[in-house]
Amino acid sequence: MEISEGYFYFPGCTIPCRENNYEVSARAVARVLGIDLYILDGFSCCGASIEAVDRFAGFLLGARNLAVVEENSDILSCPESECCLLTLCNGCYRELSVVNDILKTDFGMLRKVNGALSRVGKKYRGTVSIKHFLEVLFNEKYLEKLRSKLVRSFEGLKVATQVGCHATSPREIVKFDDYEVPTRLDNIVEMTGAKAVDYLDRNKCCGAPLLTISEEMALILAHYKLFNMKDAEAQLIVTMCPFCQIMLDTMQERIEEDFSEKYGLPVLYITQFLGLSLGLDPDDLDMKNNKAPWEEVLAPFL
Amino acid sequence: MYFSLRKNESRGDHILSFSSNKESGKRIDFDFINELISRTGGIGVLKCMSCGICSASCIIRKFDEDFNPRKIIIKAILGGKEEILKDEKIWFCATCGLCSERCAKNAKPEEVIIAITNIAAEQGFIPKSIREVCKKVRETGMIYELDDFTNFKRTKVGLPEVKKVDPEELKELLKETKIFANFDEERSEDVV
Repeated sequence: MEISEGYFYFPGCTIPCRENNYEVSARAVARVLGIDLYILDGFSCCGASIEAVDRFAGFLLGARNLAVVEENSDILSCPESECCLLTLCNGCYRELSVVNDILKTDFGMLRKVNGALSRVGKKYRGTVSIKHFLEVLFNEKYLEKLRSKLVRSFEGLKVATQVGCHATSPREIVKFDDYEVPTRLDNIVEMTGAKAVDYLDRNKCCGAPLLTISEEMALILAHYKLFNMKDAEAQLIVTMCPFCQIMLDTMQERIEEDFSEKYGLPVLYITQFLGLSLGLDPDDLDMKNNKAPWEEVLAPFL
Repeated sequence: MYFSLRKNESRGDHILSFSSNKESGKRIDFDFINELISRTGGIGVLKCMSCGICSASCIIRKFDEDFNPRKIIIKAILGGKEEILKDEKIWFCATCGLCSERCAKNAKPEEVIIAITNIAAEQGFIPKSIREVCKKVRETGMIYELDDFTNFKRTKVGLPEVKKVDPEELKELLKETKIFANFDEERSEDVV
C-alpha cells in the first residue's frame, strides 16, 4: 500500500453528527499548512460518554480506538517522531490521552484491557501519541508558516476564548495548556491582531457534560460564561471544542430566552477564525452552520 | 472514637463531631472504602482531609449547593454510603477537573466521585437519561446516530465519510464488563 504523509485523525461522535463546520475549517487551515488528516474505518465513541457509569468500559472503547490506529500505523508516514492521532474534540482528547497514560503505567489494567481486546482480535501496544489538532500548530515550522500567510487583520476586535476544561486537565497527562491561566489559545488568536480579553472565571467549564443529567444546570453554566464574556466587552467568542461551541453558540438563543438577556455574541471555532485571517471566505469555513449571527461583527474585517 | 455528621438546624448544614458514644455516631465504613479503592481513581478517598478546597472551587456547587464534592466524599468515609449511592446529585459532576487540580492532597476528588457513580451504577442506581445514552453507545458505538444521512451531509461539505465500528465487534468487546453489560437489569429503581 502506498505510504503518504499525514496524521491520523479521530473524528469522535459530535463533530461528524453535529459540528462538521469545525472539521471543514480545520481541514482548510491544514491544507494551507500542507497537513493531511486521515480517518480510519471502525472507530467508536472515545469512551468518555460512559465513564460515569463504567470507567472500565470507557477504557475498552478508548483502547480499541487506539489499537485500530496501531494496526494501520504503517499506511501513513507521520511528520512527528512517533505515530500521532489528532483530534479536534477536547473530550476525545482527554479520554484517549488518559487511556493511553493509564495503559502505559498500570500493568494490571493493561492486562485486563488487552484480555478483552483479544476477544475482538485487537491489541493495545502503546505506540500512538494523542495530540489536539492545535498542538500541531505549535510546531515551530507550522507556526511560522501560518504567521507568514495571515493576510486579514482583526486589529481592534476583542475576543473571548473558551479553552475548555478537558484540554487542560488532568495536568500530568493533558498538556495542551495551564488550567488556571491558559494562554496558548489567546496567543493564537492574537497572531491575527485581535485582542484576547480576560474575563471572570474564564477557565471554568461550559456545562456541556451536564446536558444529559440536567439541561437546566448546563444552561446555567453556559449563561454564566456568556455573561462574564459580555461583561468584559468581548465582541466575539472563539472555541476549540465542539461541546463548548454547542453550549455557547447553538444554545445562545435558548439562553437569551431562558434568562431574559441579550447577548448576540458570534462564536467561531479557532480554525474558522484563523481561516478568515488566512484570507479564506466564510463559505470555505462552513460558517453558515454557526448559529449566533456573525455578519455584523465581522463585516468591517471581511 | 466515633464520628458523626450532625445536621445544624439553624445553619442548615452539617457539623462533623466526635464522640466516644457508640450510639451517637458512625464508624468509618472500611468496607465501602475498600470497595472504592479497588476502582480506578477511588484511592483518593484515603488522601482526603476534608479541607473543602474542592467544594470551594466547584462551579456546579456555586449554582447548586446540593452538589458538594467534599460532603460526598466525607459521607462515603463515614457510613453515608446508602444515602450517596441513591442520590441523583452525585451524577452532577461535570468532570471539569478543577477540584483535582486544586486538591491540597492530590486526592483527585473528581475521580473519587466517578468511582462512586460507578458503584451506584453497578447496584442499579442510574439516572434514566444516562441509561439512555449508555443504550445508544452499546447498540451503535456512538452517542448520536451516525448513519448514511450523516455521511451524506459530510460529503456535501467536502468531508470524508466516517465508517464506525461493527456493532457485533462492539458487543463482543463489552460483553463481560461488570457494569456496562448489565446496566439495564432491573435491580433497583431508577434514580430519576
